[in-house]
Amino acid sequence: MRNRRVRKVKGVLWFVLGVTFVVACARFFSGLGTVTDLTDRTPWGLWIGFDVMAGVALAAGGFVLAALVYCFRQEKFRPLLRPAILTAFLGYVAVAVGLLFDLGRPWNIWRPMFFWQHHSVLFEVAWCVMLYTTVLALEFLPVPLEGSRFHGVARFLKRFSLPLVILGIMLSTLHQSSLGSLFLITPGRVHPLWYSPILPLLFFVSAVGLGLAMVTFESRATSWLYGKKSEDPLLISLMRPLAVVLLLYAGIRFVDLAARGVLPLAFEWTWESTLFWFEMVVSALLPAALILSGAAKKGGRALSWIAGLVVVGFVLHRIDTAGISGITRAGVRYFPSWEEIVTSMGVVSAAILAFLFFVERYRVYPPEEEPAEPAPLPPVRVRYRQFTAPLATARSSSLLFVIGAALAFALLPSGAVFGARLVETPVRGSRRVLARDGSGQELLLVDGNRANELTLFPHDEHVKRLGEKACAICHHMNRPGDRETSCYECHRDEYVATDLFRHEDHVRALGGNAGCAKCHADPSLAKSRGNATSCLECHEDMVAGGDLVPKPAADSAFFAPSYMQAMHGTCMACHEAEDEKNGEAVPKLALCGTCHPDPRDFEPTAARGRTQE
Amino acid sequence: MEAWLDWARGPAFRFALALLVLGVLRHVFLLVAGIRLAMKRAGDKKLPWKAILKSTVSWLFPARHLGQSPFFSAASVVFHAGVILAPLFLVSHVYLIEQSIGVSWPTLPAILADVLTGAAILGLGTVLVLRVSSRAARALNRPVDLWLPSLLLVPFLSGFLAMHPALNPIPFDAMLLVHVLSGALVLALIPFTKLVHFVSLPATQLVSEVGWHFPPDAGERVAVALGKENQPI
Repeated sequence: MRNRRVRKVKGVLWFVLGVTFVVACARFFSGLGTVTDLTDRTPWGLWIGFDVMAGVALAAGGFVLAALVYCFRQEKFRPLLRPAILTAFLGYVAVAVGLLFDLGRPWNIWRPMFFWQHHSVLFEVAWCVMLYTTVLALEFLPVPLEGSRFHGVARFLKRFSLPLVILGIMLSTLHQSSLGSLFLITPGRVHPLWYSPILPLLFFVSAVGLGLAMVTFESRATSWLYGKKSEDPLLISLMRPLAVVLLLYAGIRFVDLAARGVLPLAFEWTWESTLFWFEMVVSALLPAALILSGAAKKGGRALSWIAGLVVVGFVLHRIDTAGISGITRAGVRYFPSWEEIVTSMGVVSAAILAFLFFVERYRVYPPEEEPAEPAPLPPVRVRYRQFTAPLATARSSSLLFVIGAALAFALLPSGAVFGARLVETPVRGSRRVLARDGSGQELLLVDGNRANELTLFPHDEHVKRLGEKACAICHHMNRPGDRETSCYECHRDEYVATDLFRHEDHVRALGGNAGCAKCHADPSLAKSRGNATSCLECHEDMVAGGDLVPKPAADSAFFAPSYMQAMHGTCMACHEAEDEKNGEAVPKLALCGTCHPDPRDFEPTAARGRTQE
Repeated sequence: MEAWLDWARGPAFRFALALLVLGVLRHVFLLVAGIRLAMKRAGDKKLPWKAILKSTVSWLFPARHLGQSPFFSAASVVFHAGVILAPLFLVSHVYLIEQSIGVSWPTLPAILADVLTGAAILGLGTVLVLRVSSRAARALNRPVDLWLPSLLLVPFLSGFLAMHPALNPIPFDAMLLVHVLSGALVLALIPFTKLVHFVSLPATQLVSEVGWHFPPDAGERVAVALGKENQPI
């Protein structure tokens, strides 16, 4: 029964890990843009808000418990110390991995070690996290070494427990608060209900509360999973300090809001105020009330609920501060893609699996006391269903990993599989407008991608000057049965060439399967575009003669160049020749500024969002 | 139809391919773990490499086994040759692979590809017929032994017809859809059916060599379990 529960939980975790594995490959081989909804305007998304900000806070149990046991001499909590330190260590490794996902150039992560930027909060965070992860590794190392050949090393390291613990507490205090300091430079972005000059203090106090809650939660979860005796009495005595910390946090937060004069914002009916109250109730007010009402005294599920609320609430606080609270103010639209969500889940799953690995192999939790007198064995009843095949967990876990990975590989956008491609910018036709000078002349307003980069094109004037017969100069290729097909109908994308060939139409026109050989003449070759009969061989007069558009090469006859290229090509070719002929006499129409008078036209356009599939 | 074809060639095929590659790797991993476990339980120190290699190779080139039922065995060899060579070295497949990941290799001439595809279809058909007609084989048949070879026929038949539009009775795209989907289904099924024998063959030779040992003190443990220690057997 217990065995099966462990196997089920591991199976789910391995499934998530399988999905993550494929997404991770796509992220590192094809780039951030192919799997995330991050943009230049919202470069920090779920991976920073959850994996890094919340991840560090979730790992706070390590230093809180170490301080309780070593500094405040609360020896009774020692059984909880090892799991807390293991969680902290795995949590920090997970943070580092999550950061690698988010960094645009992850291979530069070593740089803060050698290129010191004393003014940067991130520099301090980087060093603290690095050093603290090392400290945690040294604190935990004795556990796996205890029973091994290297038990001498374990004994040696244990002698330095106290200095290591003190160093750990110091480093944690520094960077838990510094993560809050990161946001001090963005007062315009973080909503005033979250932004505060004392963000560092709030981050630190909430980390202490979250640390206590995490220790409680994972102790309960491990007892449930392995069916071992719960440590409820210990956990119950953690609840009072937790309540104190939560009330302290809530008090500081409200006093700070009042002192800054933004408390009224919390009572305006806005999306932020709702979020604020939800977060406050879940993270601090409700759990503290539950503890003070005595609900936790019985132990059991109440403990899990209280700890769970605190965990969810404070994780939300980190995500709110790092992103959600700024959505309205920054005017950005960001929602994490499924790939981002799965990756965050995958990093957590990997950490949990590593945790279970250590719990199963080493003495992370104190061994359960054997009953003095062995209980009489129950009468033998053979139940074949209890038989577990060898490698059963490995079989089910690896199967779910494979299925998860295959599912992810199928669902990934093709840009993530085959590399990013340019974003599609569909073109819309030009509009007819009247000239402002009152002449009644009709002009064409050319702005294919509707980016307000307007060009006025005097169509009538061109017809008048060049004559009706010159239509083909611009309308060089018409759709069947059409005489003046607009540019945008073939040049359908602003920046990317459009594929005009329609296989289905040709199949129908050539009489189904019998017609294959008309284009794919050589049966020994793979049927592809490259070796098919060229368009121009059948459609000899596909392109009108005498036009300004360069003739397509035989192998690229399928493609219409981008709208921008087509427009520039046609207009500029003619005007360059005219300008040369006329010298200084007339305005230089081939210069960019003549058609695009507004210099803003040449600014790079805003972030284009997720790379097209 | 083109949208369906895009779906079959895109997500559906990618799903099958990932299942195939990772599923086969999973089998290799589990086989190694299983062998280690079996050796530990049997108390063996060394793997009988030579016996395994000899047995594997003799089944790869079954000249020695032809004697028992030569027609059946010959059909099986022809079928295996066609099934392996035709899809791997078909010019259209190599072209598709080159288009998507840029790797390519030499291809079969069209006529040889047709012959090998025909060999695969005929070989497979013969094996199926013998599976049903021979009484000894019928006694061993499980449902999977009949539907799996039948399913395997589909991509070969549809592929052949897609390559020869003159013989193809239904629209080209429809035939291609059948071909791609059935091919993907076969690839996806490899790790979950006996088709996986293309990697597990050496390991299955091990069963008789390692797996069927009794552990060194097995007899005594049985005696203990029966409460008949120190008694003559």
